[in-house]
Amino acid sequence: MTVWTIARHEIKIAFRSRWLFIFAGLFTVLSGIVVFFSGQTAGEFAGFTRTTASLLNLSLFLLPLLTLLSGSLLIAGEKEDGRMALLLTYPLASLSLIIGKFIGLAISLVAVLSLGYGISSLFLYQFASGNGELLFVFFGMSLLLVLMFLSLSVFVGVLSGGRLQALGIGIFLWAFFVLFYEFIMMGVTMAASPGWVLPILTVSVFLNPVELIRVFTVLFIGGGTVFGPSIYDFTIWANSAAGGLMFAAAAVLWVAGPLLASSRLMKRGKRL
Amino acid sequence: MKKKAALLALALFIVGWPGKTGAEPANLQRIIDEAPVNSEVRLAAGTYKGPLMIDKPITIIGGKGVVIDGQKNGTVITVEADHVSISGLTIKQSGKGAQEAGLLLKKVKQAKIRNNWFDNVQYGIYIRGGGRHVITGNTISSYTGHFSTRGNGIHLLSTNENKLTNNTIKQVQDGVYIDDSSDNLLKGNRISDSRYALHFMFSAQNRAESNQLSNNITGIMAMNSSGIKIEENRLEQHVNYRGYGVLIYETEDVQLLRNKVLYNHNGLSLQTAKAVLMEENEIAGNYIGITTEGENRNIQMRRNRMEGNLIQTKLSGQSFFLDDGQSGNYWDDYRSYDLDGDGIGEVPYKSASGYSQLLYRYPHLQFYFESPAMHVWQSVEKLFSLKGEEDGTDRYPLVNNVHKEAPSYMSLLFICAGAAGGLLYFIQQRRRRET
Repeated sequence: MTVWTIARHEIKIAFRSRWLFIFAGLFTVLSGIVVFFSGQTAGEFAGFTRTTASLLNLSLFLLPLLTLLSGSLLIAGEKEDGRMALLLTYPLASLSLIIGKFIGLAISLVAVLSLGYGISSLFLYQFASGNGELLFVFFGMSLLLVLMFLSLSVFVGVLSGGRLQALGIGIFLWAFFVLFYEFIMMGVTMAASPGWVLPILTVSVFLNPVELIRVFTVLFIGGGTVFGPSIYDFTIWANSAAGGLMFAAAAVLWVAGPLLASSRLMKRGKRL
Repeated sequence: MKKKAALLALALFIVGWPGKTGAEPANLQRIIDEAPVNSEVRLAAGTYKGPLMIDKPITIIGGKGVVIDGQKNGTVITVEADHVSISGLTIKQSGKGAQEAGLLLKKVKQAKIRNNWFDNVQYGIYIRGGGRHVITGNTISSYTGHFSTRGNGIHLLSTNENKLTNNTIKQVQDGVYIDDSSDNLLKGNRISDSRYALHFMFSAQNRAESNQLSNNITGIMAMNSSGIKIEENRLEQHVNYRGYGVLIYETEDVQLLRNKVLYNHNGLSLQTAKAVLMEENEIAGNYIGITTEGENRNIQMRRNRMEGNLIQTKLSGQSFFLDDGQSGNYWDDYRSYDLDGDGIGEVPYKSASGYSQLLYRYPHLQFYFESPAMHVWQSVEKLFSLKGEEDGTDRYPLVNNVHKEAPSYMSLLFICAGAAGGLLYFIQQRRRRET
């Protein structure tokens, strides 16, 4: 019950603040671009093309950044101006506090994201030139991406002492997951003996939410051939039920893991 | 004229078979044997037992429900006479042995094979020797199972000047296999779900026009042949990892004109080809647009559209310019300016990026194709690369074919940032007014 009270409080605050409206605008523009340009590619060739790749990259760049910054800054801000300290004087389990905050923020973000995609799909059906299926996959995957990074952002917020620290850690995590991770993995697989390449790549997908979303979006829209013959076995496996299950499990873990970690952190912080 | 008169003079030899269930089927072989030369045999609906042998010029006309069942015993119909015409038959159940077919044209000329259905036959139509046949409007499919256990849809062996038009071929080994045969025309055929749709071997001067080839391993496979004109075909969805839209292997004098090569794993591949002209083809949506291997000589490319291929070219072996010395092609990842307004960009198009070069050594890096990090790398590379005039470049890339440009995500990022900024400004203004 406390979870829900905290979540409701969070939603109220979120809707009172301005950042949510900015996000609404951003998401509308983002999904509008997806709708518009996916419509452009419909016709002679469908599936995973350079345009689709660009659209996917757009989401992969923007959504983690926005989510990481908003979540961590909000929580770090509460810490900074003492609201968090006030809240902690109440007899609350740290886990229910964390989960409540997460649910509240998640509901606000999901609402805003859905609003953006909803407005765009209205346009899509109005002018009937877009690719509905692609939009649907993008929407679902964007939601997942937002949830995973929101969980991370809660962790960052709890970890950091203030807004500035949260900003720094958030941007570092963003750059690591979106940019550095792939270069590191490329280096690792180039150095590894050929027998190890496939296992390393497979594991690497699940260790980074951005990779998880990127790879499985490509698979879901039927562009698995894009990954090429040398990792054919991975494509086959990832397309199977086991691969889908692993995807779901990884997504759940990426949401639950950072929340549990931040709850532990907070508990320790209370003791200190 | 004389022949026609003779044909008219002969009474039409018509078999009226009621085709009721439980009735003993007519002995079609006897009917054929008893039919006079140049006569017309009309068959009523019913299942007739094969195998059959036709050794005189005769016209056999079937219709709906006229079935010739080979009972899995060798070739269903063997033709050993010129001027045989067969239409409207459903021919099924040939033997499964090597070269056992629904119909065998054995060293004969000018057969007309029209609108027949070949179902569950090892080979569909096997033409050995002879030529000048017209094979049109037939539907052919082989037994189910892996393609290596099936025969070819239409098999041409040492036969010339045949016209193969508007046939529909599915689920065979090779749709049309052309071996040691020349001057054949393949037009308007639809071939799918097979190994190679059209397979040329040791053949010369053949033409493939307006065929629709899809979902095979490879669309057109030309090996050790010469003089092939490939025009206005549609080759799509050859998505197998070793699949090609068109593969030209150790073949010379090939013209590829106005084909649509769409959504294949490899669009077009030249492997030790000589004297190839590629003009106005649309090579789009493929995983790799053009690949080359081995020693290719005298290759000319002009006014092709290379659009939406995830990798435009993968060039290895002997390299060449991707143009014809005067004009080049449209590449959707080419960005430059046309200062003198002649429709040709001022900077040569160079397709091999650092990433694709890395890809040759580490094929698994394909996993990161167009991923965020790669995208950033390639954008940076494009900004700072020095493009010179060298092999593997298009010296005269076209710019005026620019239409639906794939959006660069960088520019989209700016659009987003701009929109966000605008919104922020708007809200700030309103807040200021409120206070």
